[in-house]
Amino acid sequence: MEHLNDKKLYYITTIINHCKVGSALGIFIKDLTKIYESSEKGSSVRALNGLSFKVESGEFLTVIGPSGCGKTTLLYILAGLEKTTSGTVQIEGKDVSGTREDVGLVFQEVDRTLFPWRTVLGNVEFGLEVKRRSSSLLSKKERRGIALKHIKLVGLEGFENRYPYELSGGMRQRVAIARVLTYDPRILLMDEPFANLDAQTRLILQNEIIRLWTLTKKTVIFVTHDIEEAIFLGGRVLVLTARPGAVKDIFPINFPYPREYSLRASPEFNRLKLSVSRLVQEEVIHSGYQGGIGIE
Amino acid sequence: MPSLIVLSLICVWEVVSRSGIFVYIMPPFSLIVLRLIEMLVGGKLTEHIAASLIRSFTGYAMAAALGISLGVILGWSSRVYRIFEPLIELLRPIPSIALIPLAILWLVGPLGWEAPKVFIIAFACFWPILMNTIYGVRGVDDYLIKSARSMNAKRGDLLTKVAVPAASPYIFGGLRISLATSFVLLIASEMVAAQNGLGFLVLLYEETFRIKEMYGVLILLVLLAYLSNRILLKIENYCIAWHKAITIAKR
Repeated sequence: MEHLNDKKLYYITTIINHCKVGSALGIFIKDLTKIYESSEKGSSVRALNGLSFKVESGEFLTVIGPSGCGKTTLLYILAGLEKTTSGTVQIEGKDVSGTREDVGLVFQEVDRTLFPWRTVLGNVEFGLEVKRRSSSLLSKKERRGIALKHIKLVGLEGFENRYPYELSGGMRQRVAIARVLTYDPRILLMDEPFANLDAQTRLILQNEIIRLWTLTKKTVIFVTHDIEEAIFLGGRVLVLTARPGAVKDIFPINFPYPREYSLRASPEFNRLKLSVSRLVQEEVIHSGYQGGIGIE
Repeated sequence: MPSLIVLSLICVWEVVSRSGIFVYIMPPFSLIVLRLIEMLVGGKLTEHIAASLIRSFTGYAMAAALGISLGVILGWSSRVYRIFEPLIELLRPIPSIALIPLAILWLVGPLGWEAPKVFIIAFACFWPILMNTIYGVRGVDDYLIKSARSMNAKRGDLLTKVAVPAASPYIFGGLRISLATSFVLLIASEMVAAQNGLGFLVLLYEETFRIKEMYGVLILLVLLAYLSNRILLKIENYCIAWHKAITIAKR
């Protein structure tokens, strides 16, 4: 299997990277296990089981896996919305013990996360409004200025005073992205953010997110179910097993950024896509779908 | 148009009353209105209108302040709600009018004669506001809370900047219901325990056979209730324009 050579390369570069910079930066996850208890006896759900991986600071990691493998749980734990059952989760050297200012999460269900009583501007500046621990408390005007800047950044200039219900799905997703970027968290978590959008908007926003990532140099964990999207966007692709989720494999993606659309047609890209797809298929079959995703 | 219906009813009244069938209990509408205008212009009603409005507004405001703040707490924390639920279910169904004598007994001594009236109005208005607020806060989409938390919003901000705005359509529902209730209890308490006010006047005029004046005050009450509802509606439209727009957009 071709990706074995890539794997060797990956290990070598990782070791070199660890020698260069302490892995205190970035994200460190070891033996992460999450069990959802239920009030009924014996019906607890093990969502994650011994998940271990690292994310370098400034990296764009895509995460892929079959439905129900715990992708969303992983992001919720990183965002501090859920507690671990056991294991270590560290962001920039500190254990995750709750929500924090330096983590931002873009939900899959965008429509339900935007505040309908606030305008686009009101939504986007929310993160700054509730950011108390900043040593420099921003004035309302400054806050507004930063929010407007980010609205412009995602291409929604002119829509500041519209309400979410007036916008299209793609625009709402951009509002969510602007909202998360505005309070400038170092870590950006994205939970299948383009899943509910039409194909064209998806392509547009895929390029958008790479552009924004290149600009802001944040550490991004991007969860998707779209294998092509995972490979096209990611510097590495993390494949999860079926529930309970653990690391099945990690693929380094060595194409340089910015990535052209034509990359998707290249043979190397499609080799990778097939390799990843095979792994995903294994897990899909594991989770009970006999036919998998149709790969021989 | 709805006003056409009202107009035609007034015409029916005028005609029937002029026929003299119910000459004592149904004076002509035109004469009622004339007498009312006369009383208003002459300043005879100012004291009573002021007294009534102050009582009902004070009671209503107290109910709203308490109802919304307690409603948010109880709607947010199911633990706290479970502790207070038996007490709520016990007190809520009590007919407020029945409590007027009790209120007089307890409150007149320390607080004077205005207290029982204001208290009864507040008591009656409190429950719809409380229950609607609880219901509204309970029903806030969990995703709204989750996304606010992911931006590191703490509980205070979650309550004031997320839960309350999200629940505000329901809170306003409670406020509108209670507004109507406030008039009912205003009149009832003024009939029993007042020396001035519109409810007092209604009873006084009835007892002294000033039937025209009595109807006049009733019409005035209808107008005041209608006006206050319109004002609340205007406030509501300003605050939850977003909700109304979404409801329209959904159709």
